[in-house]
Amino acid sequence: MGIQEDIFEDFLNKLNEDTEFPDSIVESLRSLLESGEVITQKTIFNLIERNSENVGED
Amino acid sequence: MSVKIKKINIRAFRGIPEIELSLEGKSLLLRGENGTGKSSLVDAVEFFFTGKVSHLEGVRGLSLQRHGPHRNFKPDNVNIGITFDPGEVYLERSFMSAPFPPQELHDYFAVTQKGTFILRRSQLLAFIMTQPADRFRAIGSIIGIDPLDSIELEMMGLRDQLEGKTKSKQSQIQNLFQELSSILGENVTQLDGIVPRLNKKLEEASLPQINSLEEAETHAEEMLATVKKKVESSDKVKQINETLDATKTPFITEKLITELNSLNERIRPLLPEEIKRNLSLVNLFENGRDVIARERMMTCPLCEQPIETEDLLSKIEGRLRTLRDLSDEASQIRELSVPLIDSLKGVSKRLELITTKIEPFDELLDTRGELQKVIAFLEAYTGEVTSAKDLKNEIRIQDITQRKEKINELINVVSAKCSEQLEAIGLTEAEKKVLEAVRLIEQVKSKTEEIRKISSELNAAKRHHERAAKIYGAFSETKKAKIQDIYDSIQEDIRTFFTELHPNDPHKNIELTVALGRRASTELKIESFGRSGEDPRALASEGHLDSLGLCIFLAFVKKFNENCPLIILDDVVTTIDSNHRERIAQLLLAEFAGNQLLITTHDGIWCEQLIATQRAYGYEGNFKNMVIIDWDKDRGPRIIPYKPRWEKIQDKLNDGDKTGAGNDGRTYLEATLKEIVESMLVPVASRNLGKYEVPEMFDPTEKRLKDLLKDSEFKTTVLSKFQELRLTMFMGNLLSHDNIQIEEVSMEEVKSFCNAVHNLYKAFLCPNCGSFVSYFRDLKIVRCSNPRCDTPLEVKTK
Repeated sequence: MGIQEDIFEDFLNKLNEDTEFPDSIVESLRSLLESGEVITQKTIFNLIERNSENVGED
Repeated sequence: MSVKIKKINIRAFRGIPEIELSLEGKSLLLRGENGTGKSSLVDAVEFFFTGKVSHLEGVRGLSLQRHGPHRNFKPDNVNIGITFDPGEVYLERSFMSAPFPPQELHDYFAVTQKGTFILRRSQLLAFIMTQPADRFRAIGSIIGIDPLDSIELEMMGLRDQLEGKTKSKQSQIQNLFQELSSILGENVTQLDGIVPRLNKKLEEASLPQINSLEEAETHAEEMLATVKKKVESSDKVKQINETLDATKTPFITEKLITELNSLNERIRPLLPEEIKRNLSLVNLFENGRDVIARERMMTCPLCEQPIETEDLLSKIEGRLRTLRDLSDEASQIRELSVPLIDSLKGVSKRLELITTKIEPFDELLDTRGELQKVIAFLEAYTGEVTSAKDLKNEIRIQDITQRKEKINELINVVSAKCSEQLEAIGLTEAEKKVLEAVRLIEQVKSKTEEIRKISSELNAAKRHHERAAKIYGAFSETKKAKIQDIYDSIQEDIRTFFTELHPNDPHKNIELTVALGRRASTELKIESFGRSGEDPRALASEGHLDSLGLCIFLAFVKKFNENCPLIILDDVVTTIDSNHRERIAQLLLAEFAGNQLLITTHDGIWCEQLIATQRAYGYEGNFKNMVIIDWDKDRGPRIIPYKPRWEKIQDKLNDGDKTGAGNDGRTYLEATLKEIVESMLVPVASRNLGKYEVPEMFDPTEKRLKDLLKDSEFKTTVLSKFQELRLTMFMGNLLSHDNIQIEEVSMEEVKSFCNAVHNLYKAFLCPNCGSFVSYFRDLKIVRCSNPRCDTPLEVKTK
């Protein structure tokens, strides 16, 4: 595993450890990071918003 | 078997029209004067692997397309071919095509494509003399984590943007509560405090009270119905009442003007053309990046030539990083201007409402016309603020200040006329009280609804912000921790390398740490004269700093380029003295013998030291030692196998070239004395650029050796060589500088002079390994400088 992938994995694990942080956001982040897509403020925000709406919070 | 370069073919690139360099998988030591094409060779290898030449990037006026091709050729003629072993794989790069390595070269190319195998003199200090953020970037590109920096920046940007949004919503709610407090005449900070205060007002007017704001509208309607003449004039009363209601809240506030003014102060510095151009570039790059990434474009939409998507995206990211500060400021300006534009639009909307409501009143026809003009102005002004937000112009603050007065004046007219109309309807005092109460209820209800709506948006914004902050925090912490692990893992190598170059030095224990509290920054500290945590820039010499930069580069390369043995060092020892240069030669051969080193230098002494070290370490067969003997624009560099200085002199002596041999002998003496001066720490009068001539060095060096060395065979030998040389040196003087008396010197005399110089040089070589000796002041010895020498020459000093 490269350093970059290693950092991604630890980062996602860290978020997973936070019990108050929605799992769906972590999984969406994982897909985004693995997709190799360019990551922008907009892509991250969309992901947060979508997953917040999904759980009926907004 | 590791991958090695067998042959390099360069055509039409930089200062090289055409050349073939056969390395046969060996390392290359290439010596040449400045401007003879050494760096062109390095540029060509960099271009082959990365498609770029880093020192032609990011500087206005320089471009690879324009400055890459040799001046006699066109970009289409550029071609760099490299043959690799094992397998004799031939790959080439031009401006039109990139090399496609076979599977067995993938790991090698994964490293070389990043270009992190090259260290130029200009890049040495990137690790040392830069700001912590630049140092982090320089190291990040070797480690291969530079794309993470962009991701982190985006995460941070989102966190900040959502924080701004949250604060803006909080501020809007606060303003609405202030307005409510002003309407109710009492401080209100909570929604549940509204009904009791409203009821207090109703009680004061002896009007029935309400249980909740939900029933306020019905309540107001009921109260309005009690007003007399309700049949013929209740609509009119309602109309007047609503108009009066709309005039109660201030329009252009002082706060709005102050905020527009401070926004303008931030816009103004970004308006100069150059900054605007850079900001346009940010937009262009960001849009281009998104399109290229989304569409996965393989060809350029303009010239329809093939493009390397990943490479292009990475270049765009690199450019965006350099423009990011400007971009951040522009983005903050855009963010700050949104509520102000909304406020201006809100003022226009309220004025429009008033003009509609006063339409039935003939007496207000002129005022209505004036209000419409003000609305037209506000619409134009809002457009001006919108374009200022995009940094197209400034905001004219004076204009809005003037209109503020005009609006207040018109609203006062409307308000007075409405009150007059109410009077004319002939309402009783009790009815007026009712109308006042109805107006109050409507205002309170409208503000409360707005507060509820914004509060709901605030909750969502807070939740989004909290999550964005956690994402950024977790990413940033993980990245820092991982990078610190990497630093810790190579720290030992950096320290070992530095100590090998500077044994017994007061500067040691280098520490690389990820700066706490700052994003993407690397601190570099050193223990100096027993004090730890010092910034090396404050204490160490330029030579120390350069060698520290080299040690950091080599330590990272050792750890991260393990699949690629190629290391290029382009003229990196310029500021380092002879003694330390020799140690660098030893370090390179001891630690990186398995690598394929491409070393270029203009320095004859270091070249000789590297060759001596190859000999001492038994690696002569691993190197191709070459020299550029001349260069011209049309032919390029002429490269021939390197011949040691003494062999060249002997050739000239054998050919009967008295002048040539004599001149070379003189240069040999200068170089030898210079090396003794540096290695024995001989005090000589300071001279600009360190260019000393023989007379300035000879006597002080001989005296130093007499004074420094305890009686020994070594002392006797070296002093006898000085004596031998003293007897022949006058010929050295005659032989130099085109002296007309040269004809009077015989060939035999030239030979004896050259032999005396060579004997002096040999006297300072370790008889066991052939390395030059050095003076170790702390140990009070002169000894072989090769730390790996089995039986080093060692002589005590006084």
